[in-house]
Amino acid sequence: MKVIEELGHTADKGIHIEADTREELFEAAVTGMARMLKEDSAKGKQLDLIEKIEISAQDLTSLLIKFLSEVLTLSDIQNALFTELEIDLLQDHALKGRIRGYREEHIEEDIKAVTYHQAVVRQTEDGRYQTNIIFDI
Amino acid sequence: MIEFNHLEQKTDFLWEIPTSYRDDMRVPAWVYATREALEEILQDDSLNQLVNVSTLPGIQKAAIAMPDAHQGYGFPIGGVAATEYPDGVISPGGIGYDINCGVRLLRSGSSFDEVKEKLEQLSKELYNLIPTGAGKSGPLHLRQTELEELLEEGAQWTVNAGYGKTEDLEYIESNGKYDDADAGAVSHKAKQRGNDQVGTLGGGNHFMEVDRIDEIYDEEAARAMNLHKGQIVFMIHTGSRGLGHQVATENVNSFLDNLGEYGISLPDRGLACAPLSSSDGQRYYKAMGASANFAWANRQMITHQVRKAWGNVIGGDGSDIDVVYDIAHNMAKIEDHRVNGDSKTMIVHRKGATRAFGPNHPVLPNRYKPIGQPVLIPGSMGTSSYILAGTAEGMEETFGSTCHGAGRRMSRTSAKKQVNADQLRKELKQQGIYLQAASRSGVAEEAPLAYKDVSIVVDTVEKAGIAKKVAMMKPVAVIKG
Repeated sequence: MKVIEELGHTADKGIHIEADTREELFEAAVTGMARMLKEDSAKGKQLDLIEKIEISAQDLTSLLIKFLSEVLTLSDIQNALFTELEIDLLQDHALKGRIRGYREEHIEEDIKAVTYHQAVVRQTEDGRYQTNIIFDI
Repeated sequence: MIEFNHLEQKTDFLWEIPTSYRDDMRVPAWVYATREALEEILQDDSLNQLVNVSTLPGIQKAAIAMPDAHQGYGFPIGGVAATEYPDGVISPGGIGYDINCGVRLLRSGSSFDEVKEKLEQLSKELYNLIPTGAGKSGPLHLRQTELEELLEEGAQWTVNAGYGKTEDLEYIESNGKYDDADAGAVSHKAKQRGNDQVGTLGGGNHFMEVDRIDEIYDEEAARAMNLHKGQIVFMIHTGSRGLGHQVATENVNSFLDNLGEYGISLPDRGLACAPLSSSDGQRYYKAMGASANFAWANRQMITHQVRKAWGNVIGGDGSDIDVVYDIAHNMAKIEDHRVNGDSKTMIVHRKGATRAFGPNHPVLPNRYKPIGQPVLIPGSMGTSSYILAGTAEGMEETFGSTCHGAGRRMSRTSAKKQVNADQLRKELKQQGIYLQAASRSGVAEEAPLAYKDVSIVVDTVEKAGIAKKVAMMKPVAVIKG
């Protein structure tokens, strides 16, 4: 089960995400960031925009941040919202897959960057994965 | 976690965390603040971040926090750090994701009383002409060659393209052009993000304001800036948009990947850095310069749009609107400063802090040499903003640096819950302030109650001697994303 909660951060915005697997954590991250960009993202929308994703990093947390940064970049370039992730490969240092989304003219929040602040992907005692992600607004 | 008893009071407004606080500090950490403001600053991670900054290789004299300091990413916002040139580090966290986010002040030839009946119409025309909010394109869609020229020429490109006056350039920091910029250091993705964003404000805390000069504190300095009580002026607050954000993100990641190469270990990933003299450092520095140029070109294009809106509503061609000054508050610059009596060349990082050169500095326009560099400190929408000037004392104490504004005191989530955007719009109108905004949630998030009191910040820097007040202005129209 995926959990996406908005964090109260004084200057910017953030989410706390939890999931049963690493794959679901990455999926939750995409959906969570989309909600930060637009509150009712993907409601009733056809996700007909697909982009391939291939990211490498030194560790799982860096992989997640670099991945979300790439999603943000593609959103800005294409005036789109990407709300779903399909994973072909996820290891500690590598991610391959596709993101799905739709063209969106009315993004609500201008996210400047996905930061490393408070980002630490860890497993809880019951084996679930979690992290915070703070966005620079 | 840092506590009050870890700080030594040096003056009424200066506090020091000595190097004995932590083994890895290379220099002390200084905070300019009143006692009350310091107690507030201690509530978040700002000073822990400042101590982390003090560990950077090549850092000189002190890691410095301004009275508006608050928690950032790596560096605190309101932070200043100078590293030795050329082998000291350059750190994107010491500049921020929005490279050359800054403020430009324009003056009109009119008083509030002369134009007050047309201010609402002016606010709507400005909103029509200046794209605001996330994802909005500007009036120019640049070909790759045009964008690359802009990245190396900055505001000069915009003026040469017909969007401004040559004399505008004299009143911009660095004349609106970072000489060490290299368009080749900017990635294709960053260029894709930027090619339609020149002339846009963006969202978040960016804005454009029409203000009235309400008070003059320093007559001589105000005269030099051609400012007088009752005058209509304009403030533009924006930066390098998606292009700069992309450059910063890519280089933070690249520096983190290559840290081992330079034998640098960091207490915080947000301090990712490399020696300026390294290939990584040079690539980021030149890309930072190009992004800075994008921001200056952006503010220059918006200046053109302000002149156009004024001409459409008030009359004339807007040519009596002049640039007072344009400052950056997220930047690194190569500058000479005195440390222990000796002049040294340094890489001065200012993140949420403003350059404030004192009188007679050679880079200042001639009319400002007697009074010091203008410094522009915006308040929140609906509250006062300030014009200051740099001082000789600031040159000695803080590498010629001062504050940049007031930090937030409330989260965006809380502000959205507490503030009704439509009600706020009505209240502002009752105060004689016309608000045009792209999003209701943006209005709530940026409500005045979400921000600290900027007048306390400004009073502190003046009492500390690192800037002096010149004028205060109040908004009459606000355009927001």
